[in-house]
Amino acid sequence: MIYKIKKDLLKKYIDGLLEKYEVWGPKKIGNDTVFSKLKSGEEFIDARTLLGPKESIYPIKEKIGEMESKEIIVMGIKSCDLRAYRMLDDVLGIDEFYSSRRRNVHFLNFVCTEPCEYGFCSTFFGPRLDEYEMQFTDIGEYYIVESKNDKLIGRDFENATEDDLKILESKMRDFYNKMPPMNIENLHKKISWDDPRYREFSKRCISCGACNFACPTCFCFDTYDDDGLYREWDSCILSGFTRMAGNVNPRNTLDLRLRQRFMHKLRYHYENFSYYLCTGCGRCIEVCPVRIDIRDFIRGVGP
Amino acid sequence: MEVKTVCPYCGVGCNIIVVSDGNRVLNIIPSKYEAINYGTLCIKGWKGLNYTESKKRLKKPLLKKGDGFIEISWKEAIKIAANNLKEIMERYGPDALGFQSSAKCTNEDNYLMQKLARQVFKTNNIDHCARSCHASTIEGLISTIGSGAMTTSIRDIDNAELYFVIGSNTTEQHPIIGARIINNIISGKKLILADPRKIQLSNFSSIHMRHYPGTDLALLNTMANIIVEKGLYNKKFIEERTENFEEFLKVIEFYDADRGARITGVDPDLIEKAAIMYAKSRSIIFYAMGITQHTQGTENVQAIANLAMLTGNIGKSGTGIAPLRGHNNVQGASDMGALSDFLPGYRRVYDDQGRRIFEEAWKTDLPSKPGAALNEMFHLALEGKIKALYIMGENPIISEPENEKIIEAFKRLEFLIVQDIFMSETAEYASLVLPSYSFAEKIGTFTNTERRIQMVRPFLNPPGETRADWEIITMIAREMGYEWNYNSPEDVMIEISSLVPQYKGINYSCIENEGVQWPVNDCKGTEIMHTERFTRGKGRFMPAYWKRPSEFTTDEYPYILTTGRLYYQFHTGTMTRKSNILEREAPFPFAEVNPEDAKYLSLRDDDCIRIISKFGELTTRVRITDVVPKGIVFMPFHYHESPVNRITNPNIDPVARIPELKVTAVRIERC
Amino acid sequence: MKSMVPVNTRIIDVFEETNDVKSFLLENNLDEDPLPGQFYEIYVRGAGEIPISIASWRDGLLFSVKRVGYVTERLHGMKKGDILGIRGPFGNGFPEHRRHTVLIAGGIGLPPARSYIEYWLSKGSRNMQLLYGARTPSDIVYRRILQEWSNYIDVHITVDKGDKEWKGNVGVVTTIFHRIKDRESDFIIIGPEIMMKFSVMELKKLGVSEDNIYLSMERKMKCGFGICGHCNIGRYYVCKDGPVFKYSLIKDIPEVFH
Ligand SMILES: Cc1cc2nc3c(=O)[nH]c(=O)nc-3n(C[C@H](O)[C@H](O)[C@H](O)COP(=O)(O)OP(=O)(O)OC[C@H]3O[C@@H](n4cnc5c(N)ncnc54)[C@H](O)[C@@H]3O)c2cc1C
Ligand code: SF4
Ligand code: FES
Repeated sequence: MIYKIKKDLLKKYIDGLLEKYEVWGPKKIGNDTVFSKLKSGEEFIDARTLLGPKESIYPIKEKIGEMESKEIIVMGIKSCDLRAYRMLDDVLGIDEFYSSRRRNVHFLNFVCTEPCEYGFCSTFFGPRLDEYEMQFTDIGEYYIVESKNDKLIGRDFENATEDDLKILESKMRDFYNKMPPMNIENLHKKISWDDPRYREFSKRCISCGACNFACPTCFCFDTYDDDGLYREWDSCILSGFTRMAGNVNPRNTLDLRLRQRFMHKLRYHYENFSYYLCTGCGRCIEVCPVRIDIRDFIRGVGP
Repeated sequence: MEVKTVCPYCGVGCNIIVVSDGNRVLNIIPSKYEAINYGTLCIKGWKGLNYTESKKRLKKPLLKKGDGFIEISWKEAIKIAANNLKEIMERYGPDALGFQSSAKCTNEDNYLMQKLARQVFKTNNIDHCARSCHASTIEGLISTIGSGAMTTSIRDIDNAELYFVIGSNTTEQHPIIGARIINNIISGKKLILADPRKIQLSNFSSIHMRHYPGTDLALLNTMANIIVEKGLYNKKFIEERTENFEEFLKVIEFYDADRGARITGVDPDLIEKAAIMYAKSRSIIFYAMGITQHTQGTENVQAIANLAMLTGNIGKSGTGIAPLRGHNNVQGASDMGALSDFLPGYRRVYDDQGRRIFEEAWKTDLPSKPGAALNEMFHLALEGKIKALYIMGENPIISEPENEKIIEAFKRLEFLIVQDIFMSETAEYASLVLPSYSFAEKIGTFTNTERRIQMVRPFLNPPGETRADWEIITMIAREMGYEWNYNSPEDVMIEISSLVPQYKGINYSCIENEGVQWPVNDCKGTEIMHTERFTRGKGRFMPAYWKRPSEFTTDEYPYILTTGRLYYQFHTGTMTRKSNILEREAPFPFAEVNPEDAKYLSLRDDDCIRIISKFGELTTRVRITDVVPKGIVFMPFHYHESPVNRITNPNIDPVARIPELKVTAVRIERC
Repeated sequence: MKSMVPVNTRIIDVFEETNDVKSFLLENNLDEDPLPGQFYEIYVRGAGEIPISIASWRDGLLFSVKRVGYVTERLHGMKKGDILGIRGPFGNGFPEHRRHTVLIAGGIGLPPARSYIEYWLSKGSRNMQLLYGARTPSDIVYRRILQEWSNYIDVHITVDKGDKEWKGNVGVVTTIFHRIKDRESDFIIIGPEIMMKFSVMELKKLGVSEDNIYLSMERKMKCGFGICGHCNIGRYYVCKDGPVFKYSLIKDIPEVFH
């Protein structure tokens, strides 16, 4: 069904959800916008955050065997993130803890009608998804709400009209005009092992791991014992990621590790799943201290 | 809950937002604060907070009983602490006590620690680790420009045309500043690097001078001489804003390019090119321990100031001097007077006028003789002159030179209080261990390397019965009969802002959202200092002749050992080594040896070696790399497994009393 | 079941094989039995988890572990009756035994080879050959079992460095490749990467088809079933798609022999 809700009623709707559920959403802390638990609808803002809400389904650090899951609603997630979590499902779906948590989280995604500074989602799936629970699009006075799960539809929802949908369409056309897709035809075949840019990037990369920690599709974790077994988000940019006993390391230099990141996203994963492990959210560019830019990388991939 | 706070590691002071449920950190989000970290963090910011949740945190006060410890109540602990300190003071005099404060603690904690030493126990034996890192900066810059801190801001890096980095491995130690420099170079700015090691920044340098360790002063003097010879100095600036130029000329004259080259081992053309580039551009000089940890540390710093004044590269946008401070709050701890020779706000203890301000405020007479510096306290303890030490948030057994002597000194003490978050190597020797808050539980302020005073806010519930450092110190003062009526760190800040000129008028509400850079006036900060006039009035040229470092190679000790930090570890590892991913990245100590030296010594990667200096010996593993030049060995100092400070050079700079950790002559043997 | 949660198991017995290799016989209380060439994640409480190949599973699960680092050191300190955590079996294991097979094992590569030999001997096949290289005579593991096998199959041992008593071949494992009976065999190579690399080179010189060479690869592992992302070689996860790979499948990936 396609509904709409008046923008100023959104707060009330969230307050309603808060009576029954834990609700997450973007909110302001100082001058920053972060994804976190909402205390009231008042706090919610429709904005893209520096980091997505990946930890709602995949905590940064957790004790193995003591993972818990509860029903929560993640409101205001952007489509690039949600699309990314569907990719995570293909890898992490066989993990009992991931999947039980995943089943319990309702994602209500908000469609971007304006391109963000670093994003290039139009190259992959664009700002709107075909698979969603409830998808909100800002059309001015209203949000259009496309729903595949009416369980969460509230009292203040009206039915959307033909005209509303026309506005939505024109907004999406505008969006694509402003963010023209890049050519990624056969990218997975073109991307090469010995691209000299891996070494180029390695000169400036400071191994902070941010590209991994901010990426909605990165799934790697480390495990260790710290009074019990834990798992924690890991980064393939770090040398300890592959270092084995006796200091043997198949990726002992930074250029090889940067190669792993680009090739995993743009080649290996495609070879295994027939899609790129990237949704064009642009976060890795934004959080990179030295601005290594995956868009430039893709554009510069040889013929 | 979501809390905006400051990364507890380095002096960059990145802003972070921590999401937590009170017991665990759920998320760490870099702030998009343009002035500092623009939405980025280094690996320590992303992965370094695990230690706060560690189960190894201390939870109760502990009293030494036999070989072990027993848990006691706070009431007992405070009583025992106060009684012992008091008794020792009464029996041996105030200078039998020593206090060591911490650059990891807040300004408020540090202020109270020095106040406790001075007001309550009447001694200037109060110091902290700035002694081993930037004491020479404080002396060197105060004597030349009047203020011992970065003259410009992190944001202002973008306005320079050229960066001159000397003795700072910026991408490893101050990664987010290093990244900003790199970004600027990629967009066309230039870099001159002076570092014996082939560090990451050398990928971007137009000129890389790999001078011998300990020859910085000769290098800087030579550059100055070339600038004068070529007529590239700023006459107007020198005339209007400086003094002692003639004296300066007399000294640097000696350093023609050839002599400079002979001393430093750098090609004379390279020095000349560097000098010309520096003089002709809007330039910022960055430096760190490579400049300060020398017997001529103070003179090195003065030479840097000389160079900046000579070319007028100071006091305006895109220029200046940037000493990069190691710890998150080493700037603040110094500002607060946790130094044996300075009262808060850098007033000399022997300056009667300055001292009177505090005597009036604290209603007591204060000692006017400078106290013992950090390392001197251990020597005095060895000699039996210091009988009790109170160490807050420091682990000198690992961080200071000649650590065997320190252990010996601890054993001689009648009483040792260690206030920490973990049972550190040092705490093991304590008579009394006081468990305190980590930054995760604290309210207060840190002052970063660019003088920015920023709010630190709690996001975890304190473990067990831990207490805030300011509170513990206050309890001791009260037990001693002093009326300390602080109810919160904010009360302490109010006192600071009334007594420390740089912090004048600061309160928590004016730094609620964004920190300000001191000197502050009515909540307004100062981004660039010395714009109209220098803090001391006229800038003063302070020339000095280069001297051979106190240690040099001989047949017996043919290599020079230099030490430093690794990107993944911090200081003595008390925090990083409990943060699992960081520890995984750099789990063991090593010594970097140049391939040619390795060949000569028939060493292979990962071989076990023994490194021997006049001061001691240790074993470690070899890492063969051309990062270090021939003749030089590099070791990180984080590891208790190979505590390099067992063998480093304890000789000190006579002015700043900083040890020459960067130059020790050693011999290498296979084990 | 593919799970991250270790199951507790008791050490039935510990055997000292060499100076730095010990074998651990564990109770098998997992649902699934292994296949030759598969591995388990073994959890030493207070130390960590490590992947170890199954060596034998007659009266419990037998693992032979070389002491090389933190976890293995702690494991070596464990005694009969102590509790370990265990997960598995993981990985694809060795290919079916379809014809004459030459096992080339170096160092701690012998335990997985043992799982193959034992399994197929027990099924009645003797159509195998073992070429085993150890560093020194005192590093040879399973001496008694090697003796026993030589009653059924062709076994050749070489050491990199001999000693006074050693009468056999001295040299790296490729120096006994002239013993290979049949070039049309399947070749399974297990050992350090450098040894696998040279073995492949020599086999190719002998005219062996790349399709008949199998390598048991080693990478840092954390989960064991393809979710932690640590062990990939190109598009393949060694824990899930391997550890045993047909050489022709991975030979063009530059990461194979780094
Ligand atoms: C499929 C497979 C089968 C193996 N079978 C055996 C065997 O039968 N016998 C045997 O002695 N060894 C075997 N190994 C190697 C063994 O796993 C390592 O020697 C062991 O993990 C080293 O751990 P450590 O803690 O002692 O070393 P450290 O260097 O202290 O390692 C620390 C951590 O790194 C990881 N790690 C280190 N090296 C390796 C490695 N080579 N592979 C995977 N993870 C690693 C582990 O998580 C370990 O906890 C096998 C490895 C793999 C991948
Ligand atoms: S650069 Fe310094 S302040 Fe910033 S995240 Fe790293 S350690 Fe923390
Ligand atoms: S071990 Fe986790 S993916 Fe292979």
